[in-house]
Amino acid sequence: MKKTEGGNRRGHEFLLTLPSLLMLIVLVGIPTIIVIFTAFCKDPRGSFDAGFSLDAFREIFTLYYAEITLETLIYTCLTTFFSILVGLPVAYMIARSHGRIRQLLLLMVFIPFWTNMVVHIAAWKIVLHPDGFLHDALVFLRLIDDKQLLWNTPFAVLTLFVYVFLPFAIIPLYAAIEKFDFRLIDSARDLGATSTQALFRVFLPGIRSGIASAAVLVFVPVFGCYIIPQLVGGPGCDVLYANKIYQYTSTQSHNIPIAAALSLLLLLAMFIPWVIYRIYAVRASRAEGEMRLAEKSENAGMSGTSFDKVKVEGKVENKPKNGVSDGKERFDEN
Amino acid sequence: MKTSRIPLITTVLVLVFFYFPLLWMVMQSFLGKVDGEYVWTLKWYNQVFHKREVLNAVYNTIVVGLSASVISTVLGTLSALAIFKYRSKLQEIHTGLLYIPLVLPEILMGLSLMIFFSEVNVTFGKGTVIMAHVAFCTSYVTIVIASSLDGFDFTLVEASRDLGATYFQTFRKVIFPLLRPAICAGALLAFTLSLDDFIVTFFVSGHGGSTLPVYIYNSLKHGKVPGLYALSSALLAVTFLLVTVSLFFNKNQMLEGGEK
Repeated sequence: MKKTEGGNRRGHEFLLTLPSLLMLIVLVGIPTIIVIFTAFCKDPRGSFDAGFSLDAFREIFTLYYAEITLETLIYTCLTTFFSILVGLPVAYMIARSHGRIRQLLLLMVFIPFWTNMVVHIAAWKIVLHPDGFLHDALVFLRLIDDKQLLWNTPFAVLTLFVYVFLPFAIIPLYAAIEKFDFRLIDSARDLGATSTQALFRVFLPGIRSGIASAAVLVFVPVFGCYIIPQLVGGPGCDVLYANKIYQYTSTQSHNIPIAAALSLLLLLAMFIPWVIYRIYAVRASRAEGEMRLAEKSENAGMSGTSFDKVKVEGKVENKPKNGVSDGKERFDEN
Repeated sequence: MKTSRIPLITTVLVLVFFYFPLLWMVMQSFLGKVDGEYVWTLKWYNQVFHKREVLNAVYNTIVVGLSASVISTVLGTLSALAIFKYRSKLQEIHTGLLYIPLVLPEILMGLSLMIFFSEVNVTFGKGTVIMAHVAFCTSYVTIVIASSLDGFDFTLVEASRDLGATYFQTFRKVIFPLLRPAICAGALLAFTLSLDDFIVTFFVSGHGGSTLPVYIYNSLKHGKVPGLYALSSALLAVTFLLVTVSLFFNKNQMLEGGEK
């Protein structure tokens, strides 16, 4: 009887999993594999008839692309830095507020997060455009020259990047601060630390997982974002890494293998931080597990302590999820 | 010990920073110039919502949104149940695949789907857009429902099986009703994501599948189009509504869970 039950169970599992698994394989797994193969394709149109070659890679391992990658990295790092810098006080504020105010603040942070990037760009265009009122106001205040542009500049690109991706940083930071035990700060101050010391040596290290998540959640999408440079940038700042990928898919410079090759490199580049994160997460939870086991053996005398889940959480669940899910989970726990 | 004012000031500045451009844009959409004077008017809205392409885009957006939302909610519910119930190698692969759309930059998803659809010779249009949206919405729905399953009482399921119900009956009468708030929240989330998605949609829409964000993008790219701000404001208002409703749902879900 056990054998039939086992077989039945596996059959059930298979049926339950099949629909979404099938969809994922067809629409996520296979396209990714095809991109990898296309990067090695000889035909610029992407068909596999002409055979394979490394032409695409030869094209992109040049100084030109290195420069673009560097430029993109600079924008991305700056955006990440400012998002976390500005996001921390805001996340702190939200985590320390209660009830209605907290819900209101979370709502107000959520909404720009959900809104379309294109709508954001449209809105900022009005504000920063030479014909817009901000330009006139700043000229009036003698802060800038009449000729100086605010739109189509690196400044505009950076502003839009931070604007769009700041909520991506606030949400994981908020999640981490909420879990932080502020009595540690009180203890630190009792032991004689100044506010600054408490900040840098207790608080920030305490929420470092939140900071790491925020950094990843901002870094990855910004690097791959092409519409902000394209629509907001001007000469010299309107083509970043992702823009090249886009360019090679448009009809003018149609060369799918190069686009695929660039994407492949991007995938690989993303893969490395994730591997590092996984190693860190496994080590951290192993250490935590060992600590818990040590505590349990100390408390062996006391009865009634339920066994906490000491499973090593090296599973995929620890991967930094998109900010959306974290926010939702916070709500559920509230 | 004085509490630092920095968080408060920063938060206020950030909120102003967030909302000022949006509100300004909404205001602009109601302004028109008559004889050099600024007046309040609905003419932009009137103009833009009578355009053939705009109505087409709106229609596409709604059709795609509803379809993608329904399909991904069904798939997401099933996958959440599977992951939560079974722990096996199959589920590990399943979970791994589910995470890919969440961490991949949109341009990579868009590009890969575009190449895939080209290779398989599928015509680009509403169908491909729906498929693309399902691909990433399902992951989000799965997460919403999985987090609701976290507090789920599976002994109820066992009790129902003990009393003789088949798997389907159990699903219909026990699991589904209890999951309903989460399923609604997930569906709403999927619809909002589909509504506001641009990059992936752009790559797979071709000529026939333009949604509203794609239309706005094209307008922005080719210079100012009258009524653009009216359109964006309308999209903004709809998103705002959906997010507020979905958060309201989430709050209710928590209340229900608490009472149980």
